Amino acid sequence: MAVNSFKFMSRTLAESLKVWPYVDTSGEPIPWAEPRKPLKESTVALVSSGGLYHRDDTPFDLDRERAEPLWGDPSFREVPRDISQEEVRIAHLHYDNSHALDDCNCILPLAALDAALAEGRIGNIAERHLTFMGYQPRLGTFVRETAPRMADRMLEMDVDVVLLSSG
Amino acid sequence: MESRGLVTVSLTNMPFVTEKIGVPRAVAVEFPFGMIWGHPDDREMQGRLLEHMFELVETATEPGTVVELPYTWPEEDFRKRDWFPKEPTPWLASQEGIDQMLDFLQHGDPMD
Repeated sequence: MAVNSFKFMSRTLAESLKVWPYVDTSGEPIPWAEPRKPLKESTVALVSSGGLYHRDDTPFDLDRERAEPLWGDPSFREVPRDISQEEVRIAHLHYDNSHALDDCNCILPLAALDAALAEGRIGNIAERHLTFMGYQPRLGTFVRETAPRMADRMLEMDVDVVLLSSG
Repeated sequence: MESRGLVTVSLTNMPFVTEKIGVPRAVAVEFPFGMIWGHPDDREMQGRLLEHMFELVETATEPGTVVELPYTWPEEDFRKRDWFPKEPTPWLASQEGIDQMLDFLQHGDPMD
């Protein structure tokens, strides 16, 4: 493997992730959907686990994480596709937010997606992108409630292709 | 999402984890947290990564396809180590938090 997964971590975090109790997915096949239409006719949405939210929305709950360090806010937020940099806020305690607060495109590539639409590479951009805060040691609520609701929202917005990235 | 008919592609900087849990399609970059799409204002890199993901939508034929990209973080930027949070991460900030994490690593149920 050429990409070093641990290059940007403290040793403590790297050693933790090497022995992390990942959800055991070995017994089930990886889900797979075939694209139903060409990309140039597809609606594309972004999902980011970077903790980004609109300034008028409720922040992810960091105070509870500070009090209960093994808890991470399992909810998600929606951000309009034309959110401006001034409207971007971030609540995530596991990376330096300042770069994305200067230019959120380094965690949510809105400008590049607009360019892809202008070039006709994709058919449309979803009205809203979805975000959550990716520190989720206990995934139960996220997997059982949040993720299905995020999928519902994608389908309601007629999304075909979802691009997911971390903070 | 994929089981509901949505086609997904992930951008990851931790292919170790991505391959362990299994995702339909992913591209991997060796970029730091908080800048996984490249440096702020680097529209060219953001466009390139987007295009790599689009190509994977068009070409991947089986689930679990992870494509590692050759881009590297510049050495002079690596030395800045400017991706670590300014406020200490809660579980690392106290011995109590570290003990809770150690207990989770040994006995925790991730589906709690």
